[in-house]
Amino acid sequence: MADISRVADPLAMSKGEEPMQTVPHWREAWVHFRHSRIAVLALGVLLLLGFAALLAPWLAPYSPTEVSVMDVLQSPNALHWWGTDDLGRDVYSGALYGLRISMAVGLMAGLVAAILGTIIGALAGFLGGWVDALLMRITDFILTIPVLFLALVLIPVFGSSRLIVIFVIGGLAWPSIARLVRAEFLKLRSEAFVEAARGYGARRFKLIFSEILPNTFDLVLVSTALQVPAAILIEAGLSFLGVGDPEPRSLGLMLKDAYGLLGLAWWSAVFPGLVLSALAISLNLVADAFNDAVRGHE
Amino acid sequence: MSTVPRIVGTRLLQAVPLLIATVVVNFAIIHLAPGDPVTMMVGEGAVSADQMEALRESLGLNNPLHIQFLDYLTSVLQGDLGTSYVYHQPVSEIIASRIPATLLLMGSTYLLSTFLGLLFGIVAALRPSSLQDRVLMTIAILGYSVPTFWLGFIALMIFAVELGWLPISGMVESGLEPGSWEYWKSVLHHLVLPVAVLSLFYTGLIARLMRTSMLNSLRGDFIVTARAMGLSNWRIVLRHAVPNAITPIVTVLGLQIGLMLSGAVLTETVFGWPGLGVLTVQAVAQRDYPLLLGMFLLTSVMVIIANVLTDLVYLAINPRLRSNG
Amino acid sequence: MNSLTAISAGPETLLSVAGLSTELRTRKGTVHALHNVGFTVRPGEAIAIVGESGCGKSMTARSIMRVLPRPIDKVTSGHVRFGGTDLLTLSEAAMRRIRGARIAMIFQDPMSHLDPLMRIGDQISEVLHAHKKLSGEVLQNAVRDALAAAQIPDIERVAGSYPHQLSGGLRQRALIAMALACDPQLLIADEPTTALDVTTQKQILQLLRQLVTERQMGLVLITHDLGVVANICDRVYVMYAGQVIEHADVHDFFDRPQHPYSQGLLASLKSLSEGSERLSSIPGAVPNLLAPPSGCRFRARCGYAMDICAAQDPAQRLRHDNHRDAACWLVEDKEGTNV
Repeated sequence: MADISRVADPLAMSKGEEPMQTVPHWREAWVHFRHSRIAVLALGVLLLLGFAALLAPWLAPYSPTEVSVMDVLQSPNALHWWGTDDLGRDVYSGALYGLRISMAVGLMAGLVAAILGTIIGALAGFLGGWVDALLMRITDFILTIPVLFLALVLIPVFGSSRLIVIFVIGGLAWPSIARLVRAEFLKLRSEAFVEAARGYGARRFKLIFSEILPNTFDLVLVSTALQVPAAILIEAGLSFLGVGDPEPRSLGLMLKDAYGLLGLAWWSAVFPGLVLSALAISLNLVADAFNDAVRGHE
Repeated sequence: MSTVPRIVGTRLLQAVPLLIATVVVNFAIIHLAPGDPVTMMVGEGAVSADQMEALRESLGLNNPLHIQFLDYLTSVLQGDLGTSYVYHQPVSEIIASRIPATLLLMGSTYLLSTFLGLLFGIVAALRPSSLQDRVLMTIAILGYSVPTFWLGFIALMIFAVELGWLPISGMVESGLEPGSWEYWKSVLHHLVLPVAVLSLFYTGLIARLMRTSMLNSLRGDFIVTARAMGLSNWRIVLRHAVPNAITPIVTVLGLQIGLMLSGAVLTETVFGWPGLGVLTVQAVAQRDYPLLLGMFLLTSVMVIIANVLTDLVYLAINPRLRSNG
Repeated sequence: MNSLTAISAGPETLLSVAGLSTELRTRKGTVHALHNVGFTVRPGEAIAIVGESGCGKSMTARSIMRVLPRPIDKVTSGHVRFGGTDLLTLSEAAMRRIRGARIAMIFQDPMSHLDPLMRIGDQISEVLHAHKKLSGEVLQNAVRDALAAAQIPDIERVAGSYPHQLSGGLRQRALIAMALACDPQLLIADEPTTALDVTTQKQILQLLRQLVTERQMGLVLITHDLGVVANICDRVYVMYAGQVIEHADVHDFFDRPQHPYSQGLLASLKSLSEGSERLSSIPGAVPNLLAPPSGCRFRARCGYAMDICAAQDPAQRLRHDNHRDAACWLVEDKEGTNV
């Protein structure tokens, strides 16, 4: 056949799509990210919350756990901006410290998930065959586990500590990361193998881990970012149910206490809940926009 | 089409090792669990050491581990999940009595959020980047970002405590005759808030998912064909784009059934809904291990069954799988 | 732009396209996918639109049918005269009555262009129902007729099959059956045989030629394969970078191509048929249509490029009537009346 379409297709017009994007640089992703006004706003909120969490000891006017019989159930006022709870604890200070815990647990659980996901995805994509089949079967299965429910059942059995909470949440959040890493491995492996086979066959292994793994970094980062808000909400939910982080003042615990004051002190529920929501919403919006920017979706 | 029974068979067979693994894990957890089961059962210092030993013997706790495992396996297969420390009733009976309430809550939420989620996803995808798309997707992200238990609790404060429109807690007013018209009306009244709150979360998730899938489907070549053949836009969307968008996400939709248990635990707790979630939370608080492990086992079985059912539904709606195996 | 006037849309003309320009909006800017494209088709005639991928030949088809990829993509100027009306001025509803009924289209990859979740018979019924409001027994018969017209041997089985259950050749025949269902006057075939093996390719081309002759249907065959053109087409239009750069009777074209680009295409076809190892391809790349070059769009790849080629675009003076012409300053202007 006289195929004259050897020249690279500049428009890929048959499908009406834009040219295939290669993995963009972060600079390009940032340009795309900036297009979404709501994502930029969310990033601002997130940075604000991050600073508030870091600087909590300096920003909080009171100790988060300080009980004061004189100040019980005060509505928001000049001394207690967000009011006090039934033990006289300052809600604003509590929320600031709670934010620290939420962020720490979320980020650590994300880290655990990223490490597990990368290792498992890389193994599946690199080894292929029955290892791949088995690992993917397990991955699919874990994706279907109701994490909060399982954590609720397991944590009292293993005892409650921050590490256990982090490992249970993170230990169940890796599947989507593993899938992405595996897919990227499969894609890049075929290309890398061709080159490796030409030169030094023995260097395949090194090539895979020096060439492919770094390339999956962007994907791991954005898909981990999507897992962090979920982890934060799960931790808060567990605390609300009484089995979360053992720290005496976390956002989930504050809400649990506030639930006991239903109708008595709206401020004890509204403010910590707003902080938690703002954190989860801004994280989701930012993660989402970065995911779009990096992976080039609509 | 003779491959269908084979695929069904394979799927069912694949579930067996998972089920066995679950039982093994469950058994292992029993033995890892802190505290002595007999002490847990009768309470600290309530009986003499001799009586404890006798009880231990009668429960088979002195047998070698593998015998204990076989005993355990046998009883699980017979539906015997042990006796609750707290209620002193068979775990299977306690769990069974709570299933209808959870089923009602989760079932209503599932139907509502699947319907709305698919609808919003489709509407958003029809005009990507338009106002309607951006509004719907922002609501969707809010939906799954705002913690359900907090939202539920704010909704309670507004609609139940302040306005008094809806009941604060429970599933039905006491004193109504079960099965009567009034009874169901009351149930419905109690169902509104928990279903609304829980649905917001799942609607958001499903809408995001459906939007992405629908955008892919609308980019499909068969859509170009349908347009070039002069079909109406409605027909193209409803008969071609939507079915092709739903098919790839059926798996995820099916698996939501299992995942919803997490949401149910929180929602039931907030709204005092007398289902499995509240039961589990109580069992955790009271360290009622037999009940907890019974729940764990039941959930695992449920997740596995949901997996198998989803595979089968996928098989049923996707002609490509049916003949290619 | 003088070319809008230079069309003879005589009574024997089925479709006449003139001055067609289309823009696609992408993230990187506006792609000028088509510029001033023109051609004609008569009943019972098969014309070929030839060019590399990305030259705008598929976009020409989609502009005529008004099924551009996205709503923001626009035909910015031109006329598409068909059956006494300009299709570009029709309402969307009126255009829908023409698509699939009076002008039908088939595609390169029949697998992806058929709905994977629908049986072939149902997909054909859908078209018949949309245009002719047929139902029941009459509809079923019409479906069978359409499948028979595409020379499908095992009608009942194919009608009851899903696309993935059929061979590539049968899928393309099924798509052709769908296109023929409402007995269109014009068929646009976009690379209809590219995805098929050589034998099947021949059969499908024969079928198309037969339909043209028997039904007095017009055929626009879009292809990058000059072998296909030689087999079944009467006239050839060569496109490059969104423009028509040469058109001629098929024999004239193969005997004496005028445009250096056409000559390059034919040379590569020849080297292939002689079994030579190296393809004599045309060096260089197609220009970027985000910012089309001034002057002749081929000049960067042309061995004969002159000063005038950079200054003025020869495509401006291309004749769009049925006389052969090439958009090149080397081609002698026999009648001397252009520009």
